[in-house]
Amino acid sequence: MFTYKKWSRQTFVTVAIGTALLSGCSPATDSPKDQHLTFVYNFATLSLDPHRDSSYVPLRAGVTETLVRLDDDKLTVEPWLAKSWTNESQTVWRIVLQEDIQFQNGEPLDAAAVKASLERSIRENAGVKNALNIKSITVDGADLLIETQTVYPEFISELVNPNTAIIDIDAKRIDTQPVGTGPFAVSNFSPGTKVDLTRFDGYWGERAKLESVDFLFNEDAGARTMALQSGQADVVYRPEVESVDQLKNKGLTVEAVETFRVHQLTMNVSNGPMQSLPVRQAIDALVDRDELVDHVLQGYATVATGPFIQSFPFAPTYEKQTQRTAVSYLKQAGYTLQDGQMQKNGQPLTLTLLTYSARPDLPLIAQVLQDDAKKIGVTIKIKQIDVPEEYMGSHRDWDLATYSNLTAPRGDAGYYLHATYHPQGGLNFSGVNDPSLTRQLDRLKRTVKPTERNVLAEQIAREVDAKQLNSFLLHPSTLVAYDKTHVKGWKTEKSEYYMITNQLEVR
Amino acid sequence: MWIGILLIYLGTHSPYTTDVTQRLASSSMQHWLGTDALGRDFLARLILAGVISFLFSGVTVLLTATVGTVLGLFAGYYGGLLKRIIHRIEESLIIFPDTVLALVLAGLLGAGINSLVLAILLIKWVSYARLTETIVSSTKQSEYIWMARVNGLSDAMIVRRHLLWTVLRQVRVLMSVDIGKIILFLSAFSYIGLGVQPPVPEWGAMLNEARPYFQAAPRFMIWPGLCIVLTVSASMWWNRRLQQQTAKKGV
Amino acid sequence: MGRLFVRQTGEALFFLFFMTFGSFALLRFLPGDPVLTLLNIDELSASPEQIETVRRELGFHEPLLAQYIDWLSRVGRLDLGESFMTGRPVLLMLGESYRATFEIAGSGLVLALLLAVPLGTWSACSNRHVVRLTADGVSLIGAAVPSFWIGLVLTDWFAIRLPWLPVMGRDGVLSIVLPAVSLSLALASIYIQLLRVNLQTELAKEYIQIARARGLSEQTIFWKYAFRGSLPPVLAVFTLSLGSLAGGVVVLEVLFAYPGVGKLMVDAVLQRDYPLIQGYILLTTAIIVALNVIMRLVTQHLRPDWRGGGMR
Repeated sequence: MFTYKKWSRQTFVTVAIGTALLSGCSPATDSPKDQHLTFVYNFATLSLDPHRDSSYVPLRAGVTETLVRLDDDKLTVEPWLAKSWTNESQTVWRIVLQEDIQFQNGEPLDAAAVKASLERSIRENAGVKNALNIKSITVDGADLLIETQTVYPEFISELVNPNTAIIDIDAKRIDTQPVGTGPFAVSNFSPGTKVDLTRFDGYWGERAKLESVDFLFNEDAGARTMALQSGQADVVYRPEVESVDQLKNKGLTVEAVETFRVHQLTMNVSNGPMQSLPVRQAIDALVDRDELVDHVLQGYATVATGPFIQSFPFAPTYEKQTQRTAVSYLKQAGYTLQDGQMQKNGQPLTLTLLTYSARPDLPLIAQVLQDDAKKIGVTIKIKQIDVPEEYMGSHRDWDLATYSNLTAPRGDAGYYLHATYHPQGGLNFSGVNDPSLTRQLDRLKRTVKPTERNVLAEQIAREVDAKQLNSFLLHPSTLVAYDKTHVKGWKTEKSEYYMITNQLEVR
Repeated sequence: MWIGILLIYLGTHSPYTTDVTQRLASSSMQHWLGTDALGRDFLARLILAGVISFLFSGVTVLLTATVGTVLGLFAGYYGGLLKRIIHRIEESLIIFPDTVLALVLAGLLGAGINSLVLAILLIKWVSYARLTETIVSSTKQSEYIWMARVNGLSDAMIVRRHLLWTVLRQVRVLMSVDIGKIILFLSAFSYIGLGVQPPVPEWGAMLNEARPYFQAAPRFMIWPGLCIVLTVSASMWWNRRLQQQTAKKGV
Repeated sequence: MGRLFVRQTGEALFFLFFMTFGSFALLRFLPGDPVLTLLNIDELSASPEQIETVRRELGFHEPLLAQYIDWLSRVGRLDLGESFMTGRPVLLMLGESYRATFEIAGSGLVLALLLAVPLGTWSACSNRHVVRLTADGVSLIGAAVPSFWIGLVLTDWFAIRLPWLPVMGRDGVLSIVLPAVSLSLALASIYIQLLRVNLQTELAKEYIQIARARGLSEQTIFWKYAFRGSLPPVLAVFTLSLGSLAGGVVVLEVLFAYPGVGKLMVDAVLQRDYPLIQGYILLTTAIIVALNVIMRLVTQHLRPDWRGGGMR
């Protein structure tokens, strides 16, 4: 055999140089700016098109603004780009715009620009088209006249939707460089990685205190937490729940705020055992909500009494009922315990529970429920599905489903109640067809006055509770972690809409 | 014996029973390797994951080997148009990397085990068919097959009596290494959520589930990984031994 | 050579047609569609009629062949449609993510070759125990340890316990290191084995003995004959792994949240983003087929007697 000493030495030199080239260089570090903030968000968007992006990054990053906004304390709709609005007739709204607003490219924001932007969002986003229900938009001097297709009391609150944000539609590359009216403009966008923001000095409100912001995306909670601990990030959205104590020990602030979301058990009332009211009540009684809050969500949630969080004016206050056990409800429904199983006419009670992994809490909740049911002799079969809306909409071979919903994302109860309990509703997977509920929901659709709407919505929510249509489990909280001595002016909003604002500053 | 102990453990500890008051418990007499984020016994889940991986891999390998061997036998024994058709299909499939095909199938048929089995089957049968064909076409020329034919044995008889065993001995060698490879493949796809679906345990899926807890409890990272490595190494070791055996006996 | 090229190209085109039409048909016949996601049904109301309208607008009710011809004619104009998820052009999105994939795959491949070529060749012609053990060790690690586990362990050490490298994401050269190293180990193992086996076979051949008898230098024999002769099977596997990398380094991209084409596909699969899935199948198949045509031509050039095949 022969050797290649010379040759191998050469190779090793090459290897060494190659490795040095690949791993030795470090990224160019920016010189630290005085008023610079790094924010890490938990969803990685591939597009910045404000009318399409369902993660709402342009609005959350302070690039775009909507005509109206949701006040987080009062949970009411407040003016933003629109100064005021009036009802000209049943279906026509007059919208008066703020004056002297300009886009980040210097173009003025006038009625024609708003019209063009709204029309683009309707064209680009079928969901927005349905939600706005607009028949025509006319420019009337400095105002807009908007006619809806039907009497549509929710119209103004629907304009809270971040996908209706007003942008200059003539700007190029809307998907990567949208031009809005917010306090920050996009300077660079790397899809799936980050957005670089710089202050817009011509902002119509108070000029932002920060000069620039790095808005990073990272879908891994552990990595986001690490970024905060290592000082790479200043504010982190949804840090890892397990490390909250550790963060607090290091003197960081972790804020937990309840959201408009509810985790619920959707019940199929159109066929199978869940048609029976006492069986539905039994399942509702079976759920140990405190256990779910404490152990599955580690305390970062509030127990749900109904679909809406208590701070909404239309959320009913439910009287404490005498605590009845699931077993007693099942007895009432005619079930008896035989051979360790709840049976009726020789048929054991077996329920199919759907769950999906897009929201990681839900499969855990399903498993806890399965276990609790087993203890009282009820068999729950868990079926894992991909897209819950798709499956529940097209199949009837299930009894229960873990589901999660935003119940009043734009401050109005109409959307959720109608979608979930009206026979024509898009989210009525339960198959609810209750004449009394339908009548009231139709009335809600025609009622314009906010106070009257709230009374009616509360009444409907009560009836849903009495008939035990679905079981509401908990409202998960949003966690935000940052260093309070360093970052000023951060507010964790229940709506999760407004994140980077002109009020933020660093010390 | 070890397997026996582990199976008894699995029999006495449910891998699915959740106990949220016992979340992330460390090792104890009751839970030998502690519990996971839902309070499920970790060792029981590891064992069941192993059983599932072996079943999945075993069934897939058998299926693949059967399809490949049968097609290879036909192509090698009869030749002609059939052989040409089979070759064309082989050539088209062999250029496709298994991960890409699995991803494409998941895109078409949805995420889950079915797409994976189909992807493996489509890719791997080719090597079995080629191996079988080579053996068959070379032995076909040999004297004793010719003798058998002269003696009036039917095609099926010849294949069964003389060819099949030679082929199977070689196929076994290939199968032994594929078992490990498929377990590796399954764990990778389960890790990214396109394989075994929860709550069924699988080593790759368990690694993904437990990722947030690695710092607090490194056992979640070490054990499933070690299980994969040991299983795959065992499959490779077995393969090497079979290879040596076959080489000694000669073909 | 010319005729071979024409034949190969013709076959490749037929294959592309087969793949795209097949996937097109399958996607349309399978139950479920992305309309509900598209309407953001979780947050916005939509009645069954409105859902049906959108479905019609997307052309899901058109006959299959009409849909396919429409798609094909747009492909002819380099228009792969718009992604359902983002509304951005599919070609643009795939282009962006191919770049990210290339960063990991390219550096992983270079590292793997830097590891495999010396180890493989050296262990083929050296009797030294240390060399064999190193080569065996590296290839065992690469073959039996899943790359994502290597990735997890490396992250644990180098990004968390010793925070030298970023945990994940795509932010500069440093973020490429961990995925590239994890990938290179898996790849290197294949090439070490392959190079060694093929070199040993080649060196044992008669013509090498003849060359040696004729007094050619060992260097010449090794490089000009043995190494060159052992290349075709290595090249076949190399092409396969190039194709596989072009399809995305799926597991590592997901693990390191690196926005490559594999991760994009996983997201597209979960969201049923048909235009994106379709575009991915077309482009990836095209790349793989093209790579194979090139590989065969190169092989012909290197060793006219060697015919296809290779191993997996």
